[in-house]
Amino acid sequence: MSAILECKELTKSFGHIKAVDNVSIKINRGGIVGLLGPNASGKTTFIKICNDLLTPTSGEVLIDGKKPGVETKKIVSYLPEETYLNECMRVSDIIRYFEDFYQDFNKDKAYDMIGRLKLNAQDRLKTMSKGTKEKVQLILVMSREAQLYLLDEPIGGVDPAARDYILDTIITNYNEEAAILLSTHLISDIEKILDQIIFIKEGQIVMDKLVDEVREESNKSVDSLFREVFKC
Amino acid sequence: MTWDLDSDRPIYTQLVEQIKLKICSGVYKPGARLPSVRDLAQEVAVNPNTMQRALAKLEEEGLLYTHRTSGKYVTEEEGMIKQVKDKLAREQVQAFLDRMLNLGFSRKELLSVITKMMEEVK
Amino acid sequence: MLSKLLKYEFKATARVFIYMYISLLLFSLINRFVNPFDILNKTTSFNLAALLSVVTITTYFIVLVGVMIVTLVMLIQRFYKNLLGNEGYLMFTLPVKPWMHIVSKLVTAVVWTILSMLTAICSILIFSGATTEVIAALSDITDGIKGIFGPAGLIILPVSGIITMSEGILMVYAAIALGHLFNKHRILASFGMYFLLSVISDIFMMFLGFVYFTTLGSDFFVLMQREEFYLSAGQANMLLLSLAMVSVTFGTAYFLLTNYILRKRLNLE
Repeated sequence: MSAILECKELTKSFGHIKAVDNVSIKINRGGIVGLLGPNASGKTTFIKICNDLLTPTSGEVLIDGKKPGVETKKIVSYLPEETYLNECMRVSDIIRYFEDFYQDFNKDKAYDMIGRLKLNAQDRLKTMSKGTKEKVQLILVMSREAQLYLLDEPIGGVDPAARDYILDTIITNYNEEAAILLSTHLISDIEKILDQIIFIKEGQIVMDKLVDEVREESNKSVDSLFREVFKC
Repeated sequence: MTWDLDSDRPIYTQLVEQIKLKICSGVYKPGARLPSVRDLAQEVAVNPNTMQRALAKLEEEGLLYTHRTSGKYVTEEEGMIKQVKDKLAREQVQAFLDRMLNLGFSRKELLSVITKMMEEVK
Repeated sequence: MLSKLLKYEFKATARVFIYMYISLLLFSLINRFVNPFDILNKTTSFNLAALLSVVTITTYFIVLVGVMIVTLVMLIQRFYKNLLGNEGYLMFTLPVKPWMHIVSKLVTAVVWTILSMLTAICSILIFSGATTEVIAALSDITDGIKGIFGPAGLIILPVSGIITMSEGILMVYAAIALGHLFNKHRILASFGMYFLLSVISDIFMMFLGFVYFTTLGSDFFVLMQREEFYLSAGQANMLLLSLAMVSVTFGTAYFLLTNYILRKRLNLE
């Protein structure tokens, strides 16, 4: 197993606030990793750095041994928290767009998932509900045969049935050559699909372990442990 | 098919237990082909890696075997299944006995309660 | 990759612009039938028809100018919204170098601006009915150009016009990028930055002008003071080309600045 993502002493400051503070993590291929922490703990900042949307203040991130840039963007599939698609576009337009720019995009998979959701590919995004838009974004991201999936709060702000759909999609698209990092603060829903958990608090890593180890050692669910560690 | 998984305990251990139960109770019949790792993981909503590990453990214990390209199968050795079933039963009964004896029941009292209840169940 | 970006850039912006230009042309066509110029030519007193004609002509020119302004505003907004708004999350995670984003936006901006000017000219022709006077006026203009710059001027002038236009657009992009560096009130900051950049470039131009006229072009200065100032076509073209070079320099500086900010100082909300 080789590391698809590795970061060493990564720090990102905004003024004198350290959003990401001396973070060193390793994620291996085939892993489904949860980056867990409360709001504003640095999860989104970290993920943005991996996507070359922010420049580190010090330290480095290597994806498949390379610094974030054009080469890594080809193998990283990113789902941000926001709706980042042009709402005037139709679903079929967006699929064509992704197909055009990403060599690893699997159009058939995308249409299959759209079909199973009973969505019309000719619909424009702006006619859809927020939940449906989020599902469409997820489908696009998971239809790429990427080597690293970075999902930022994929289940926040979405109803429980949609959450199940999202988790189901993640499991179905699982591939041993790739890794998935998802960040969230809603833990009980997703802990069963994680193999590794990383707790982040105020930009610092407070725990980085395999999930079943955590359960065995502490006799608790990750959710309970989280509540303990992050008690206000 | 219901799977009852607790987040408090290692999922891997629970998967091993529950699949074992399903084999013993006949949900997965001897010689039957199991769904693929991915499909099973999806059904249960767990990490495919964890499912893979659980299945590997069961294979180690002899309850499952892998057939080259067509996937995992339940063992046809009914004797082995019966063994496992017996072991499970003994574990359950032992746990029960321990609890009851702790509560202060004598063996005679226990036996009479059990006999009466089993007649009612018929 | 760049060609793909250009394709989608045009696709995304085409609809609005084409509707606008076709509407303008139709509007001028309709106005042509109203024929206000004719009415005005024929009236002797100030009656309703005359009033309506004046109103029509005024409205027409307001709409014309409006279209040019709207074109400019839309192109600026496109850069801001698509790269620095939520869509930026998509754009900057495409496996494409940031400079290609700037170039694709610049090229589309220049093309639409040129098209808007051409549409404006066509629309004026339609509105005024392409009478002999109008055509004569147009050929006077082209003759004038040839007079100063020689026949080459008919090519050099538009080309340097495009260069200056590109520089102007790049300056706007640089201002937007600089405004992005602020944490709050980014749009306001962009306006401020634009003002700042204009002031800096004006000062620089004045300085350049001063240097030029006191050294290489000192004879120009002397000549200009005299009434009979006359430039040969070659000299006029040289002047134009030098100005174009300055434009290219500024444009490149704005481009590099914008590129740097997008690469190293991006901070999407």
